Amino acid sequence: MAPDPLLNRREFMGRAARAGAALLAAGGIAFLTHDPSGPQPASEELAASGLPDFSLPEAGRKMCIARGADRLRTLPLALQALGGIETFIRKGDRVLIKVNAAFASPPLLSATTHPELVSELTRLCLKAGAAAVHVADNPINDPASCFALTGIGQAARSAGAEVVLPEERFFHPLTLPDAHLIKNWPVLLDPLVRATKLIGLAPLKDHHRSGASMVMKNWYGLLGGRRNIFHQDIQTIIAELARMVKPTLVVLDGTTTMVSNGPTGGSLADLKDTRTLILGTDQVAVDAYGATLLGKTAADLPFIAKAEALGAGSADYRALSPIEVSA
Amino acid sequence: MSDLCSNNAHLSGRPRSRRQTLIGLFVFAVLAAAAFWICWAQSRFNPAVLNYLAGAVVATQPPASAEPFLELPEGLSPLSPPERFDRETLADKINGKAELYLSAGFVRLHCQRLALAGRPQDWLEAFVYDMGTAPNAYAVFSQQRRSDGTPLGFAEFAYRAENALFLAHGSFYLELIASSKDSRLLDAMEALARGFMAQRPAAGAAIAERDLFPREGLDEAGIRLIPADAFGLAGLDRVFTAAYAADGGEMTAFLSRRESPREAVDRARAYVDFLKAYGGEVSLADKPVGGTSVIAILDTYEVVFALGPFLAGVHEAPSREEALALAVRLAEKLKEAPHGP
Repeated sequence: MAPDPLLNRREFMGRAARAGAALLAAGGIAFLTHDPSGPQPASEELAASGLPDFSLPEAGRKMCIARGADRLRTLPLALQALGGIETFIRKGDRVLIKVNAAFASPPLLSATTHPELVSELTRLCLKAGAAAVHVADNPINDPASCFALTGIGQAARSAGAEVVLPEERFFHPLTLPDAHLIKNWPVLLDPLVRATKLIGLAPLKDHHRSGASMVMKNWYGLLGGRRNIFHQDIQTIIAELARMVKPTLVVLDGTTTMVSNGPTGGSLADLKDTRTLILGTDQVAVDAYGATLLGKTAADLPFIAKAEALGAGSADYRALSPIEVSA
Repeated sequence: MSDLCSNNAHLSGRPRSRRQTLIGLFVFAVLAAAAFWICWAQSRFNPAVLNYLAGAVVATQPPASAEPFLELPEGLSPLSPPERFDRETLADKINGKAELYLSAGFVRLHCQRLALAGRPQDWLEAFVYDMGTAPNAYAVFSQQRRSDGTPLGFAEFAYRAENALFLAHGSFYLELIASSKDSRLLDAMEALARGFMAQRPAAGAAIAERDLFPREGLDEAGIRLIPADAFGLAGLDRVFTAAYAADGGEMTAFLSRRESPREAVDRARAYVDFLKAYGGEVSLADKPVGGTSVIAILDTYEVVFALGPFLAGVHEAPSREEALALAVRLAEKLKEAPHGP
């Protein structure tokens, strides 16, 4: 473009100043109208600032790796190695078991928590004196179909647990202090605040987006709303969830692992018999070991380091001196 | 700009003023501060904004009508209403796997659970992905192909697993997934797939690039189409790969037809630069074409060349010699291919 011979320095400065003033005015209006806390829910309800802490400091950081193909044998064996279910569940406790019932798919595909584990864990909790056991998740697909077709609903009820199908009224906004993503976000709070103990019960799966779906990713099912927008930063949301949730115990089911085409799978060819059940009080450590069953290391899964950096646990599972048992 | 201003100042005969300079610096400082603030605010964008704009907190029930969206073979009946998902909602059905389909050009998904008549415990779910084009459908089919699947004779791109059937037909990709390994379910799935094809006889389309790989040592079932970001390089799309046996394990031949020979050269250069950025050591070879790049990286070898409209090469070969030998064979096949648009 040819220079404008009529534009002198003074005029240039004047125009630039006017343009700057216009931008400043626009920026000022934006600044004054900016709502740093984000949109508020329709009700006047204030966002919760966190969840109850369900961890048991007196239980210590423990981990057990139980090997065997029969979940009904490996689960009690692993719990026994950690001091018994009574170490975690006391008389009168109201236990919430957070399962993965994300998809309306059959147990055969190992895309969801295996119903045998749900029933056995429920049975053990009730035997230890729990006053009530609730089983909950906010599935990706419609909840009633998910709990029915995965077999989780039937397994839970037959063992004496109550299934909590998510309803809009159970969700309340939650802001995790200093979080990047969990701000004023609807979380399945009602069943959590009614519980005194929380157990995460997750299948071990490949995940196309995050690399793996294990116990920390399982908390994703506590979120409501258009949570799939978090897929853009899935490593961070998993780490923030791990920081948000302080469980009593986590159980990672690697008896049959979905090693490819996760998280939905679809074919038995996507599965591998890895015959391992991992229990622990440190969810980061449990996931770090779980990665090895997928042929990966903790370093291959960025959410593990991120969760560790946020103080959710330790990726060095060996430091917990995991107890190894075989059924 | 300073030259322009100086010239204008000189032309107008007005000396520079310190006041004008300060005003100019102030204006630029304000603009820089505004730009910084916008970037900072955007980096801390609150995703709750999108959530409250979107509405629903819990997954909704599908519509009540259980009319099948496919013509069903005898013995199958709907177990649930049909569902439909688009690019915005696909993740509501398949969660983290949505990106695989979206990156390959996904248009819409219809799905429905079906059961054997009178046996609701024996059910399957039919997923029909409309991928827009036949190559897109082949991309998702080939990327998820299970190694131990049994090919089905009635379609070129179809196989059966123990509990499932997978089919690419024209622009459609079908997944039929059963709740058990019951043979009656598997037979019903096959009848469903055959019926789907019969209703769309013109939909089948050949994937021409599959024929451009050297036949010797080729596992045809292992030919894949990577729709986007092949080998980790952003923007490297539509890359076909095929595995070949090598002395030290396995290596992969790849090819991608670009819009023009010039684009093929540019893509080849971009891929070589990408490998160099990750520590690759580049040498040149005069075969299969002059200016072929051979890159040693992480104890493996890559060969990259452009031939007409094709970007091609060999990926992760255990030795330089084997990589170049396969590249020469690949180039011979590419020379036989039509090079027009």
